Amino acid sequence: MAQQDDLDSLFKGLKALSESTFPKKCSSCGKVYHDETQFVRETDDVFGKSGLKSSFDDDDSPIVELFRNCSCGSTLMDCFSERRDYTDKGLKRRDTFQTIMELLISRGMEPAIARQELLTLMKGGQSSLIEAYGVKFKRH
Amino acid sequence: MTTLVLVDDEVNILKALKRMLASEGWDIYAFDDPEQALASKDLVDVDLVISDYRMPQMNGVEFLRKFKQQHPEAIRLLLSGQTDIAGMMGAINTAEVYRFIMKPWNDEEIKITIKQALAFNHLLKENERLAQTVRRQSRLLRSQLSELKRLEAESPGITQVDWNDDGSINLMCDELDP
Repeated sequence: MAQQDDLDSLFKGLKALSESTFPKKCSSCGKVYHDETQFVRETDDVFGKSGLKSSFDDDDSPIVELFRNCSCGSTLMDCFSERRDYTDKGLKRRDTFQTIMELLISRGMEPAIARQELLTLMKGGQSSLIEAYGVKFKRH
Repeated sequence: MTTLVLVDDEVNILKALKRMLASEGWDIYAFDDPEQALASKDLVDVDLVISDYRMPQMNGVEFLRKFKQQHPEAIRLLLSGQTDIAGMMGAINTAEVYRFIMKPWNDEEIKITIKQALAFNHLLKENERLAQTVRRQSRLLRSQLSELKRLEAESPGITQVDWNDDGSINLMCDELDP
């Protein structure tokens, strides 16, 4: 349940920020990203990593910075607030979640569906849809 | 006051760098356009400049090369989110970049890198200051030696005379003692 709350808060945070910072325009090539899912889906990893970095806002509140390379090669960054778990474990969880999201999106799954299915899985449910996309999870 | 210049076309990255470095007490100037940084009249005695590599107006190597002409005393760091071998070679050969920083950076590592770069820059400046002192003293010594030679040629033995502080000749020197 706690895990579900964390995930919900993560996406609430992402949504809240996306309303204020998107659409986002690449100053190098002019490409416009209308929301955070397009931003993640249509940009590339930075040095093969998720590009997530922990930091603190001006008021010392914890934030997550997401670095992504535009298709033109320019590095873009946006900040996301995360209201709850900011421990190493929390950052690792977000990183993992982001990686799986990207994998599903890259294989053609709609971002909204990918997120919902992933949340279902994290709650302990099953997702034949995700497994059909070739992502297998260990059951404990 | 230590002065840093930050250049990146992504405003959010500039903000993140400024946030991270705010606690260090450095004087920080941030530009999202390298042309503006080059045209700025506010930049005096810059100690260190960090530039993004890929920018629409000009790339980071070109910017740092131009910035070096304006501020040769500023040590140069390059930020990059891409592995660009040609760019890195250009940075080393053309702009004499002290170090590359990869995005996203680690806050503590980048602070250490900046402090090391500033310390290195301080050593370079101190080295240059001492070298100038040595050159100045060498010139003075050469001038004095030249004058001594001229005097010796004009009055042989005059440079061997033992003078008293009041300008009189010391006749009590050892050679004259019986």
